[in-house]
Amino acid sequence: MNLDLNNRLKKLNKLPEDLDIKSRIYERIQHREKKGLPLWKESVLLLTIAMIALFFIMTPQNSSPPQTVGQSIQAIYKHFGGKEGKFFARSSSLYTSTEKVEDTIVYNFFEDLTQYVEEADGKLGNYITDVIVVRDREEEHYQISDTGMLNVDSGQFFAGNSVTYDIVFQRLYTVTTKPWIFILPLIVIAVNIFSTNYYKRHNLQGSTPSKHVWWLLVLVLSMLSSVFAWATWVGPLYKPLMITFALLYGLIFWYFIIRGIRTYSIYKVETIKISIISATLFLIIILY
Amino acid sequence: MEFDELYEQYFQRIYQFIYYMVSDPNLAEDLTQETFIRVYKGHFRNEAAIGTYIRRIARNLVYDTYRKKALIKWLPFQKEHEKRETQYVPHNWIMQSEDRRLLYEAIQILKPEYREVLIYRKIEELSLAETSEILGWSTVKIANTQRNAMKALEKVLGGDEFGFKQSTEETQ
Repeated sequence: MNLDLNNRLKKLNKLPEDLDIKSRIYERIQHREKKGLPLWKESVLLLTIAMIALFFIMTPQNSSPPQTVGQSIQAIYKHFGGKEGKFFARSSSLYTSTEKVEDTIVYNFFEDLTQYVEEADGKLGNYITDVIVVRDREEEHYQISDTGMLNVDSGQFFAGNSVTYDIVFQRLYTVTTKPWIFILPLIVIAVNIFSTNYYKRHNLQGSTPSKHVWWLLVLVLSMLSSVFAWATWVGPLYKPLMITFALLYGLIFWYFIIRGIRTYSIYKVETIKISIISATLFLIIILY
Repeated sequence: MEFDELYEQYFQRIYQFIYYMVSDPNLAEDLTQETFIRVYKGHFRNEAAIGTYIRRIARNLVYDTYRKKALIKWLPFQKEHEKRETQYVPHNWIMQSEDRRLLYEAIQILKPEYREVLIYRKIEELSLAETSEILGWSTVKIANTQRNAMKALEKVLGGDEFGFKQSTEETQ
């Protein structure tokens, strides 16, 4: 019976060649090559990123201060590492390096400044923190330094000679360091070691993206790095904007890597890898 | 080897393999086209025989289709062949012979791993080594799968005497 079945199966190898299909496919391949590969998908993705980024940059300007009843100051926000002549603090903790102050001494200080400082001529010192006081739903902008403080709105300088002033300055100048960003390279190295070992163990050959895809990934990665560099060295950035960039980067990376993969196991491993890295990036931004 | 030569040499084998795996002439055409586009654009580095390389692409595209249909229907920018639902349309040549039809339909009932091993080993009569290179499996695994596939096929065909033939006729 087996021999008979073998012979019967062999006969299925004679499926007649369909010349129409053959020439149709050949022509389509040639036509496609002449036309060149359309870049519209990549362009649409990049344009989408740019539009979302623009949207997020425009919207935070209108964010309203938090409201509480029974006190004149509703909230105080600080941005550590200010510079004279530049004001970076924002009235929302959704910005990187911007913290909501919860210290009652600082609140009492700003309730009535005149008790602790006096109007005078002078200059800010080298150590500056930007402060936003939300009073009666209006924002007041201050820069506080070791020598005195500046009301940015009126341009009035106040000399800080009291003990309370020194305490308030110390509280506002203190920065909580969160070196979470260093977790990212560790996670990237860890997941890559894991995937390499997995591929070796299962005798799989990982995919290598084409040159074209690499350039696109490098471009998007540079955009992401620029956003982080801005947030680290220049000024606060809106966290949802950074998260959008990070997730879009993950999505683009995943989309192009997955397209080149021809093995299901590699697809699974690569998807898990990209998900872990994106989730880490997401957490880092939240904690930034 | 030039693309035209490759196309001439491998078109029929690739199309036949894909057709037997997906049983849909339109999908088979799309996947064959995609296979040769990848061959056209690809950088073959002599890591394997060119035939093995092309067959691997075709095989992976078939599995991609199975997987994408099952798992990631929400994938953005799907290609046309990924969106399309599979339609079971046996080839005229297969329908012309009762024996071919029964055998073909029995193969379609088998799971994909059995089907592809039967296609490579019994229909195309590739060697164990060639099949091993295409599938990335050990020769022992291929021999075992082949044995199980043949048993499964015999079992399905054995159903002829007990109504398989009749039931397939009824479904048409």
